[in-house]
Amino acid sequence: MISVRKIFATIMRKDITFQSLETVNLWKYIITQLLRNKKGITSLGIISVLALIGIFAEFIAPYPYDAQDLQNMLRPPSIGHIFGTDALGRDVLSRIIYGARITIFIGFAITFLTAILGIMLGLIAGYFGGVIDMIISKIIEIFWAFPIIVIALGLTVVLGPGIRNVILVLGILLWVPFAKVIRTKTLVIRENSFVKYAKAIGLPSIKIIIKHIFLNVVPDIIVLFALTIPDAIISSAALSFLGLGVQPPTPEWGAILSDGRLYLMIAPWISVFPGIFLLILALSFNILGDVLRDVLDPFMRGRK
Amino acid sequence: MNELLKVRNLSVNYIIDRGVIRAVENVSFAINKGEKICLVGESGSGKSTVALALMKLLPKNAIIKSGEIIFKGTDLLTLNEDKMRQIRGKEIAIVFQNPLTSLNPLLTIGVQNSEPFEEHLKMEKKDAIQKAINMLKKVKLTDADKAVYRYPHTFSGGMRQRILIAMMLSLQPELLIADEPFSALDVSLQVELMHLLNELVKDFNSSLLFITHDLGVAAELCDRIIVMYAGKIVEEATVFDLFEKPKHPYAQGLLQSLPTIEKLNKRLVTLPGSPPSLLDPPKGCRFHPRCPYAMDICKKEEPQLIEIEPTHKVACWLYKSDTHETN
Repeated sequence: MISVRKIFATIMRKDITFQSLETVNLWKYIITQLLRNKKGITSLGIISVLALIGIFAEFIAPYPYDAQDLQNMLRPPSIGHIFGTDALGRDVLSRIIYGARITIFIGFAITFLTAILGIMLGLIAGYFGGVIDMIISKIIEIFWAFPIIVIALGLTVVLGPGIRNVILVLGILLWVPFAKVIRTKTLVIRENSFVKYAKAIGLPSIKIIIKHIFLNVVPDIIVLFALTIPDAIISSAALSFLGLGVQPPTPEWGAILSDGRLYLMIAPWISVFPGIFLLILALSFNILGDVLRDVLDPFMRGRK
Repeated sequence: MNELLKVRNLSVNYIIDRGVIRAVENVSFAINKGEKICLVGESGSGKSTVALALMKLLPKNAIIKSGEIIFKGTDLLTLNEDKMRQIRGKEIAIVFQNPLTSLNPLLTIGVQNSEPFEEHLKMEKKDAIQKAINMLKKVKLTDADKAVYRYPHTFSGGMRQRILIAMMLSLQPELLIADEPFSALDVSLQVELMHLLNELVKDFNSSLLFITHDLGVAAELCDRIIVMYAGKIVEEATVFDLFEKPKHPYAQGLLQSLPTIEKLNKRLVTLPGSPPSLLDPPKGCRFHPRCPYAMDICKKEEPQLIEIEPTHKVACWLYKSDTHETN
């Protein structure tokens, strides 16, 4: 890890600041800054490794995720089964490896959906203000007032369990922070003179929103995205744990955790390992979000 | 008749928590084709509100209480937003104060300055950028060919104001409103940009409504000057008339407060007091509490803008119209 960092550090030695004469590429800037930050590179590294494990599960996992071996049920961690086996004799490690794919995919899918909803509603509320803003803000407050997991429970019961429904339900429930932040940010950007000029040129509102306001909230969207993913992962794992999310034998981490809860006293490894992985993944995304926020906040720039 | 714009009895109010600000009251004036008019007055006299009302870009808490804004025969106040959008930037353009925050920091100059061409003339991106380069050359931006690929932060305040002037003049609007465009710039730049603006307006045969609190700039640039005080027009005259024989006590006071060569050894005369709150403007003439010639009638009745000479109008009880009232 250290040598990789060194290589990057030498490549990226040249400081990119917004004041420099060259044009600045936001993505390049973010990646450079992330790679120069200890927390950033660690969390990004962990996430990438977990994602790669998920993508190449077939080649990495020692066993298929649903291979039962009823002679080896509830075996503690050993050389053959590093994380032990579950009640049906399935290799926990293999299930976790396959589970990485599904868990991360669900996290991204939910966040993507919430981002689309939140960005659209936030931009509209912030830009137009008045009655439209009032209506959207009230909707936000109503959603804010209820515990999300309870509504999610109710909705999944109605819609039925399954990956698609989990994504759908959490997607339409987790957009609130997105919308709130984007709305506030839009309110600030709207007052900039360049928006006044855009109006004076005769641009229609939709173009002003896309060209002038959306572009200016992209940094906030990136941060929100990274911070919503752990929320989405934990919430979907919780739904799976309650039996309303991903259905067996699909190996989602929350579902594996749930499988192990009956045997918690005699075979804790079934639940502990997916729990640890969930923790690491969620924590990494959280830290990544924090680092991104610091990197993208001009007031934090140059501070340690 | 070559009247381009006629504003009649325009009144604008701002609704705020503490009440109603009567920012502009019964303002009437006209701009002819190719004419350069200055709107002068101190901060809060309603100059910018008039400018924004002409573009229909007033903030949400403002209401246009009454009046007509007739531009080329149509009343802008009756147009819907869609029609108004087709006029903005194409037929009426505006340059605001403070160029530093007026360009989107995330878009190149080329993208922003080609917007008018793309929006109104439906041009292709490539042609629009070429047009934008030509405009930037006209405002004498150095290295215009490359400037279009640079971001706003790489330009100084003066350059940004040039870029904005180029942007707003892109489609050769018939009326350019300039709302204190040079107030954030240093004096030498002001002069340079003023001459540039003058030339461009002449080239494009546009009319200019220039808003400023600087009488020097007004004298240099404009044909006619309209003096506003507390939301009303107090005097309207050609530059020479106003500077040689100001009629309204406020205009007289303003001119006396200017330093001149003859008054080198004297203290400058100042007007006592400060402008009234427009939440609760004084009854009668709004200037009467500060006026050295205030009479009884000034406290009771508002004076109308009357014509005392063909090109000279004043709103003051000191002058009687012997012939006719305007409008």
